[in-house]
Amino acid sequence: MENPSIQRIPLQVSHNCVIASIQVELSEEMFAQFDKDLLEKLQDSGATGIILELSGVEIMDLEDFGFLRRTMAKGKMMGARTIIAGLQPEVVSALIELDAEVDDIDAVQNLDDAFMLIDASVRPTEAEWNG
Amino acid sequence: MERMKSTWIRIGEEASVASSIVESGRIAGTLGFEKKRQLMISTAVSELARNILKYADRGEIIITPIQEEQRCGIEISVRDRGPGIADIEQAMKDHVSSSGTLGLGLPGVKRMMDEFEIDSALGRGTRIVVRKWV
Repeated sequence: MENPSIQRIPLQVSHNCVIASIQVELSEEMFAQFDKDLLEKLQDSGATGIILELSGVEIMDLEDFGFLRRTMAKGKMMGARTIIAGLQPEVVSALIELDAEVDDIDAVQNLDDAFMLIDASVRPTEAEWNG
Repeated sequence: MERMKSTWIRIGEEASVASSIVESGRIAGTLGFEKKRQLMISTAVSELARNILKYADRGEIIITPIQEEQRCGIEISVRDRGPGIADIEQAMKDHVSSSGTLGLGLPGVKRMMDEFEIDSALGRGTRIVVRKWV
């Protein structure tokens, strides 16, 4: 079935991060649009971090997770580190049961923690300032 | 085991995967599965439906409420006439994939459900039946 109006995921920039709040179940078309929008936003803003806020997602299978991983890999190639925030316990259980590869995923419970983690990693240390 | 009226869903495009997810969750809910277990069932169905799209193009999912003695549950039967699985034992191991980076997810589906049966052979398609009790 052709969907002429693909729902887009809103992106905003804060703390030198592109923040994507995903509150709906994602389809393949939405992921494709999301990838495109996210990479353009990274380029325009020069952001060095991505926060994927996924508290609204209830069901994620291996294919969805694969899409997310590819998005994260693309972000990495644009110089941005991704942090996943707010995964529901049900989604986490399912991903682990499905044997998803999660070892290299950075995840936190909420946006506040995501900002703390990002700030800690992007702000130069005093020693670096003093060079 | 007693079977109630089944819901058939033809799998053939992305939207049909979404319907199978919604329907399985809805039926599980009416049978008394708590939310967390509904989502597990829906995720398993999503995985199975996606496998059909990926490997067999089309197939069907049949969702049936079941009852046995004092317990009730849900049965999900998935079948396709795709290429079939050459080595089932291999497909039931974690970290196995026959198409790139993603596996079939079958070991995960088995873990998420209470019962899991699979029948497949090269050229004969695949039939998988899973059940979960409330």
